[in-house]
Amino acid sequence: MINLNAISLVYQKELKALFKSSLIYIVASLFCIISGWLFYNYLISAQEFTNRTIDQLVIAPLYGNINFLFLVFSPLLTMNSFAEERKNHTLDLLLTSDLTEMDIILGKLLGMMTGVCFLLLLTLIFPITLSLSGHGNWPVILSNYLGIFFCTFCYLSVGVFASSLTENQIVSSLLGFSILMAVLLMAASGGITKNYIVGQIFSYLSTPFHFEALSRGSIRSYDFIYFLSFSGIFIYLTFIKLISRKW
Amino acid sequence: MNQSLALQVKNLHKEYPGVEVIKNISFDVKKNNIHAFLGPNGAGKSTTMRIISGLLPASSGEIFVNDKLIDTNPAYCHQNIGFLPENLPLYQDMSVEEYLVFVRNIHTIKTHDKTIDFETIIKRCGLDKVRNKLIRKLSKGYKQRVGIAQTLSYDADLIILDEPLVGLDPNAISEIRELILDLKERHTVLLSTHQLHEVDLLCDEITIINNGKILINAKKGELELEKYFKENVH
Ligand SMILES: Nc1ncnc2c1ncn2[C@@H]1O[C@H](COP(=O)(O)OP(=O)(O)O)[C@@H](O)[C@H]1O
Ligand SMILES: [Mg+2]
Repeated sequence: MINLNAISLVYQKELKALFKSSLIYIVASLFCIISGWLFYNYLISAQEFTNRTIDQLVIAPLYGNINFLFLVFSPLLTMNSFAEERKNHTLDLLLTSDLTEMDIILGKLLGMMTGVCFLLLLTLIFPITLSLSGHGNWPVILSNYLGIFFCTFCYLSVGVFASSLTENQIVSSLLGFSILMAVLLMAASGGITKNYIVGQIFSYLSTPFHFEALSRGSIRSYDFIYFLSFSGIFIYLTFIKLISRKW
Repeated sequence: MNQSLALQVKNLHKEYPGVEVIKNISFDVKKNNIHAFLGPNGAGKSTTMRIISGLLPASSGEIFVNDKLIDTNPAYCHQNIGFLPENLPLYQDMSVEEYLVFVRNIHTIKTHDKTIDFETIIKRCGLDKVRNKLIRKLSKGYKQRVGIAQTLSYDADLIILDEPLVGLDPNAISEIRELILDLKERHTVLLSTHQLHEVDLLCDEITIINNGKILINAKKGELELEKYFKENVH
C-alpha cells in the first residue's frame, strides 16, 4: 500500500518548498537565539551548585526547553502544508494523480521532519561545547535527541492534521497549538487528581511524561509505542479528513 | 462497447444533502472531438467535471472513459484524463518547467512512462520564453497556458478543461483558442463554458446543461445557439 517512489516525489517537493521559503530560516534564527540564550544561562547558574551534575543542571533543562520550543514551532512549520494546497487548489492536482492520500501525508511529514533535523543539527553545538570541557555525557544526550525527535514527530502530525481542516494558516496554527497544549495540560491534570489510576492514565496520555524518561537516559519500549500510536492517530485522522470528500 | 467514444456519462446523478445538483444526465463525447459543455453559472458543469475526473463521488450513475468504468479503474483514469479545474492548480513558487515535470512524475508513478516529448508541449503551449520563470510572476494568460500544458504533460487521451477562457483578455483568448484547436489531433477535449460565441469558434459538438439537466445534444451548425438559449435557458 505504501509506495516509496510516490512518497519521495511529495517529499522532494516539500523539502524544496520548505528550504525556499523564508519561514524555516526565521524559525531557525529564533530557535538559535532562544536555545543559545538558555544554554548560556544554565551554564552560568550551574556554577552555583556543587552537589549536582551537569546532566541535571544543564542538559535536562536545556533539552526539556528545546522540546518545548519544538512544540511551539511545529504548528508554524506545518500551518502551510495542507492549508496552502487548498488555497492554491493544488490539492486537486495531487488527488487526481497516482498519489494516494497516504503518500501525500507521509511525504509532507517526512519533509517537515527533515526541516526539524536541520534545526536539531544546529543545537549540536551545545553538547560539543560541553564535551570539549569534559562534561559530555553522550548516552544521555543522544537519548534526549531521540526523545525530541519522536516528540516532534507527534507535534508535526498534529500540525498537519490541523492544517488539513482549514484553508487559513492562522487558524491552522492556532488549532494545532491548542491541541498540543491540551495534551500538555493532561500531564498537569495527572499531577493534580487524587485518584491514582486516573492520574496515571492522564500522565501516560501526555507527551512530557514520555519525554521525561528519555531525557534521563532511560529507554523504555512503551514510550516509543506511545509516540508511534500518538502520531499514528493523527496521521489517520488526516487521512480520514482527506478521503471524506468521497462520502 | 463503442470504440469511437472517449467518454460516456450514463444517468449521472449527484445530490448534496437536500439539493439535487445533477439530475440523471447522460451524454457521450466522441474521440478527437472538441466537445462543449455549455450552460449558465450554477448549471452543474464543474460538478460534473469533478466527478468525471474522480475528485467527487457520484450519487449514482456510470461513467466510462475509453470503455473503462471509472469507479473500478481509478489508476487508468488518473493516467488518461488531463484535468484543468476552474481554479488553476498551480504551485506559485515553482518554475514552469519544474512544475510540469512534477505533474508528469506524479502521473507516471505506475506506468514509469517518462518518454513524453516535453519540448513539443512547451513549444505548443507557447511557454518556451518563460520556462524558467516562477509561476507567480506570470500573467493570467500565461498561467492559463501552464494550466493547459499541465494536462498534456503525461499524454492523457481525454483533456477536461473547466472554463479555460474565463478572465482572459481578447488576445490571450484567441491564443488559447488556437492552442485548444490544436489539441484535437491527438486528444479528445471536453470543455465547459458559458460563452456562446466561443462554442461556435471551437467546438464540434455541444451539450447544453441547465439546472442540472441536459437540454440538448447537438452537432455544430445543427442548432441556432443564441435563439435556443433565449427560449430555453432561464
Ligand atoms: N458542496 C456543495 N454543497 C451544496 N451545493 C453545492 C456544492 N457545490 C456546488 N453546489 C451547487 O451545485 C450547483 C452547480 O454548481 P457548479 O457545478 O459549480 O456549476 P457551474 O460550474 O455550472 O457554474 C450550484 O447551484 C452550486 O450552488
Ligand atoms: Mg463552474
